[in-house]
Amino acid sequence: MATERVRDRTDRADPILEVRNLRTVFYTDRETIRATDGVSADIYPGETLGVVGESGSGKSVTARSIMRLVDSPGQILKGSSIRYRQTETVREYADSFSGRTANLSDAAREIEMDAAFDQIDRVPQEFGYEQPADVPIEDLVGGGYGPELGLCDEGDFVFVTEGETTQPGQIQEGFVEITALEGEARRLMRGGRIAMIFQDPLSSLNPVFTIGNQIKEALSLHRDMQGAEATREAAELLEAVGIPDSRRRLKEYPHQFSGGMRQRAVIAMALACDPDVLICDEPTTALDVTIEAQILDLFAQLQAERDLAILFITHDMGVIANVADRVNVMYAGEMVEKADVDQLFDHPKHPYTQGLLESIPGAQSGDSLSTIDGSVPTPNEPPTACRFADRCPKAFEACRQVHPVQVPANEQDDDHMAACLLYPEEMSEREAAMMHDQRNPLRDEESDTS
Amino acid sequence: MGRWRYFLQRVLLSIPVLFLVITFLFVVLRLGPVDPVAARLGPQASGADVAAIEQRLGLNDPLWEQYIRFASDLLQFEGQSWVVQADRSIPAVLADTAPPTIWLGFWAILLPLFVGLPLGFYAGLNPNTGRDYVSSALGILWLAMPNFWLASMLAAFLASTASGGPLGFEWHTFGPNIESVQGTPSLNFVTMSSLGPVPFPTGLDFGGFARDTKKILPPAIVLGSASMAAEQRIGRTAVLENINSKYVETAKAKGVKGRKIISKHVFRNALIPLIPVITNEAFLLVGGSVIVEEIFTINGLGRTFFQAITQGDLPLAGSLLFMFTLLLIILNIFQDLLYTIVDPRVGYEQ
Repeated sequence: MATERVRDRTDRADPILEVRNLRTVFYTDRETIRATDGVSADIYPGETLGVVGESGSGKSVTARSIMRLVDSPGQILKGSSIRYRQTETVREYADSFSGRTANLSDAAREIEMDAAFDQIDRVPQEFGYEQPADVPIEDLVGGGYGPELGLCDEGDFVFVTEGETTQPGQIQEGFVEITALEGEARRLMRGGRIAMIFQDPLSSLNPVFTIGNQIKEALSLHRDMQGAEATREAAELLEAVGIPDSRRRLKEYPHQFSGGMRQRAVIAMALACDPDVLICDEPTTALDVTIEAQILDLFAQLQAERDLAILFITHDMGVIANVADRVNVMYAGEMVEKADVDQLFDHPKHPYTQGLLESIPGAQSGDSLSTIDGSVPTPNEPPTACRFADRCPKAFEACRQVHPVQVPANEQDDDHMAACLLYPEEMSEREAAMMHDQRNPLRDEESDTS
Repeated sequence: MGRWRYFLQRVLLSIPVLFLVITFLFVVLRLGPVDPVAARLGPQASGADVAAIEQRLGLNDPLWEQYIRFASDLLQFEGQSWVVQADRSIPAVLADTAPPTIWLGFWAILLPLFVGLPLGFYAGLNPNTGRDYVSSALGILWLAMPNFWLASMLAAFLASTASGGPLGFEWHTFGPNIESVQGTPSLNFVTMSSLGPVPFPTGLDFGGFARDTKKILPPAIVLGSASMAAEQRIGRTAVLENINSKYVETAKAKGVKGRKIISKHVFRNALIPLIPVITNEAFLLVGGSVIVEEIFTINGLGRTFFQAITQGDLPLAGSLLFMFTLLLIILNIFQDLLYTIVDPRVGYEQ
């Protein structure tokens, strides 16, 4: 499995944020929309992960789920896990919320995985694995099955995998399970650890308070700064994001700022919380291209200065090529391709990615711009086939019977993943289809909407 | 342009409006079918008496002279009542009738503000719950009941409790004693003395205050009912709109505490659409007080105005209308002032 391999790589630090099997569904009167349907992703410190896809592919819901901003009728299903792995944070949380801390280091070694899956009445395929023994214990515990397996108490959200819960300062490894966070613990995570920048900078700012007021609010929340100290820091932040004359600007209201300035102010506000992870949900979509380029440069500069991990969401392939180190392509609630940015643009594997790249103006082979016909289907049923099959130029019969899972595109390049029956390249279509089918959840998934 | 310069300009601009209003009032009142002489003397008056009264009231003077007198009386707050309180000076009449109306208006604004608005905010914070539906249904019910009907029903119902009734207690003797549901509150609970020309209150009679409050509550509830419903509904919408806004989401993403999101980010924005609703209440009160005061027989401005207009008391009716106009103009300017304070996007530039 890709995640295992990625973690084994020595040239890269551990991910700061791991998303596993994220299923966020929205219950409406007519149907249940599976806005994200088993999304997995890793975000590394100092690196930008680009998430690209059409409108309605579930990009924003992924971001909002990580921020825990999904409100009713939306719900993150059991089995989803979003793990914040920064050791510093785990120590602080273990210290502040010792009652909600569980030690997994011993339990993880002892647990018998086959029995565990029988006990919780799940199949490993739901977690993206073929055999129970392959499933990391974190996925089960993070997904909320800990209490049933006797590994932790109900409501625990800090898990120590190496170290002692009684000595928070000595914890070597662990994670904070974001999907289990509530109340104060969730509030501290928001902004202070993970900050988010939204699409429309004007509506992201409260129109009746000054820019300074809103930046200082963040400073007082997460860095305990007040008064003159906060004003000085706020002015410095504005300078840092490239707003001159910042002292005066602090006293102005959002409507007195231009579009680009507003987005800079929003970025300054996010940085005021001093986050480790920055989620940018189409931050430049509302801006014109000149300003967009400036803002993208600003992100690169801030990332280098502060070692930020950035999750950058956009529908613009051009922007992705500019900012991302790695790219995840989303389609109908699923990640269909994951690769380094150069790999993805030079050798796109999934037909959807190929279609997206061909539809960039100037990249087409003929006179007329090629497009992907149709639109993203609403993922309202558990997947039993490839969701892209109806629009796919390369679709064959098995595509309508087998739901593809993430597999390495080929043997040489095992960091390049695609969820398509054409891969792995070494296998014949029939073999590949069988392999994909093996790794699908065999049981009816409807029952896990508990 | 500064805030104060803008308001000076607004005040200056309202002067021509006032002149237009005076002229319009004169024309409408003078053209109307009212006959002050008949109202004063009765239908069987003899020709000589009629001529004498007409002479005294100046009804035979050239129209432009009457107009000048009408306008200058209004502007100087002078003049005499013709019919309703014949030959008394109008300021004296107003001094008697204004306090009950102000007392009524005070409660009729206070009740919606402290009942309708919180109910609306509460409903907006708990949308589509049972509590929301109850609050909204009550709001619509209040709005749907017309003043005159509600006033009659409430007066009759409270009066009926004198002999038992569904409440199980008598309204008249419940709490502070009052003799009748109807009638004018005495409003003598404040003892005033004056230090030179400046009057100031020296004592408060709590029993009298309670009596007067109890007396004014039923008419105030009737008068404020429509505003209460309006504030409930607009308050609910305003809260809902803001709670789902992007900047509230940003505030959440920033880690702002739930209560602070409401009290800081939602509340102030929700006030913006409520400003005109609240100031408009004054307009409703002016119209509504005529009916409510008549039904509850409160000798206030509304009732006096109703009498003045039906009996052809032109100076009194004109003065009252002029005062109402003045009140509305002042409220409008005040409303603009509030806007500029609450919403920084409202500017003074042309």
